[in-house]
Amino acid sequence: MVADTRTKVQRRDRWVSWIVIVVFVVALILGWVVKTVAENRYVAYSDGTIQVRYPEGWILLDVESPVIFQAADKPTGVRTALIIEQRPLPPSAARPLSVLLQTLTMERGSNWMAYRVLEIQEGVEIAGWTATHVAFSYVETNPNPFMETVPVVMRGADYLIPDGEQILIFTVIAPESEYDQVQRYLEDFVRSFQK
Amino acid sequence: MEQRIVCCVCEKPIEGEPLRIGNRLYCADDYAKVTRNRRSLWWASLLGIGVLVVFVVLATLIFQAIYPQLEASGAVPYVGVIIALVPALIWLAFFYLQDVREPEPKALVGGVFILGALVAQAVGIPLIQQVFQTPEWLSTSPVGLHLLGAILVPGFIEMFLIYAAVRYTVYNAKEFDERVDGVVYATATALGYATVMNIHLIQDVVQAGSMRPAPVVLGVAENTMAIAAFGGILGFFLGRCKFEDEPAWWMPVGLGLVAILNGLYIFFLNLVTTPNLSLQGSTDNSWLGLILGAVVAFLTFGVLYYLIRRLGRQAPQVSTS
Repeated sequence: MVADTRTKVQRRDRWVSWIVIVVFVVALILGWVVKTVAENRYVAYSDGTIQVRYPEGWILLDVESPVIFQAADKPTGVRTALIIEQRPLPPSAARPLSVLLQTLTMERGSNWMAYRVLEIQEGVEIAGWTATHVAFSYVETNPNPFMETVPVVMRGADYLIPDGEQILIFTVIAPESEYDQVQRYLEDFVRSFQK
Repeated sequence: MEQRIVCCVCEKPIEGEPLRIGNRLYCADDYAKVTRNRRSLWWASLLGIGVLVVFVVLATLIFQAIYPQLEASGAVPYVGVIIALVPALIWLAFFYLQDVREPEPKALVGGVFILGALVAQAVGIPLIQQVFQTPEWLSTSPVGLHLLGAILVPGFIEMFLIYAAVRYTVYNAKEFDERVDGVVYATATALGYATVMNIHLIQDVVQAGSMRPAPVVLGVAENTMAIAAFGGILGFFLGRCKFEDEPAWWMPVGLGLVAILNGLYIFFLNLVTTPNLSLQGSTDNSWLGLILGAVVAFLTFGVLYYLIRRLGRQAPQVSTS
């Protein structure tokens, strides 16, 4: 009778494989925690009439009516920004929201270069409100024609939310290359809003 | 009862005194194979990285000089696939040209390359981009979260999938009979993974509206060199795990180490290549990414060469039949 003496490595190899899998799963769970933390870094803002949350590290900018709130990722230049405007609804119009939308488009069309409305969706539900969602684009450029600058294509979106005789317009604008990443800011921004 | 001592690789009885690595017993032939260094691998890696850098520099300069209108000619998909495949083909070509003494089976090396590509397409990229949605939060997060996220999400996912593709296939094959085979097969798997990442990178650029070949070539080269290098380190751990008596923490620590290196690389690559956007235009820092990728790859394969050579020198020399 012959008995083989061999190194018992296979059972240990299996253990090692399981330990590697456990390490991987733990890393994924921690990764999910990091993702959640990264996606929920906001600062609360309150001025007595409105409360809202905006991304941590952003700068609050001075505002003039009809803008009641504006925060941006940097103070000047091409920037990503969150804006709230409050405008009265035209009282005599049959479809006041459409009239306001046209006014907004005309204003932006004259102030923002190459402003174009890309899509309008009515009856969008967000944070318990029924809103009108508008997607748009325009071009940001330095007004000094002697400056050697490259125009930047900007993308943006609004939620227009009727509030009694007023309308609240929540807007995000961002360079086209960053737009997909910042869209969630707008939704979180609207959800955080309280009067 | 007669007692026989069996080689842990070929499982044949060992004549005479068995050779040991830790508690593992080897016959003379297998011991010589396990401890052999494979010069072809290092030459292939060295030449592959060098030729890839030269290719990228030349291609970028040519593309910048002639500004080819690829969209108009409909050549985007073909040029994209060629650009995505070139780095892997360069490495594989050099490896086979150098690997003449005892060549690894082409089917196995090709097989793990394809498997690497498949796991990237089926698991890695969907998990990173759609489940963890890293493009939406990773690069815009503060430094600490950015770094942690890069290590824990793409760092671990990419390296674990390359590990799994080798560990559960070729690792158990009889052709995986040298310590350095871990580096060969894990590098080939990593190249497959990187090729699919490159195809996705090109797809994203095309979908964004413009195929500018010069930055794409740079991005592809950076991806490939870094993933291949980290795959090589992972393979070093796999090779020693199979043939040496390493403790149970060896492989998990190896995976953790390459995941950290991969995450650090992703973090620093984002940091150095992110263009500064302003009304004065954007600055193109793609060249810094190429330099980072090349330095990481050279250093990694250099350190691996040194480690495997040192291990070979430490092992007692035996004559084989």
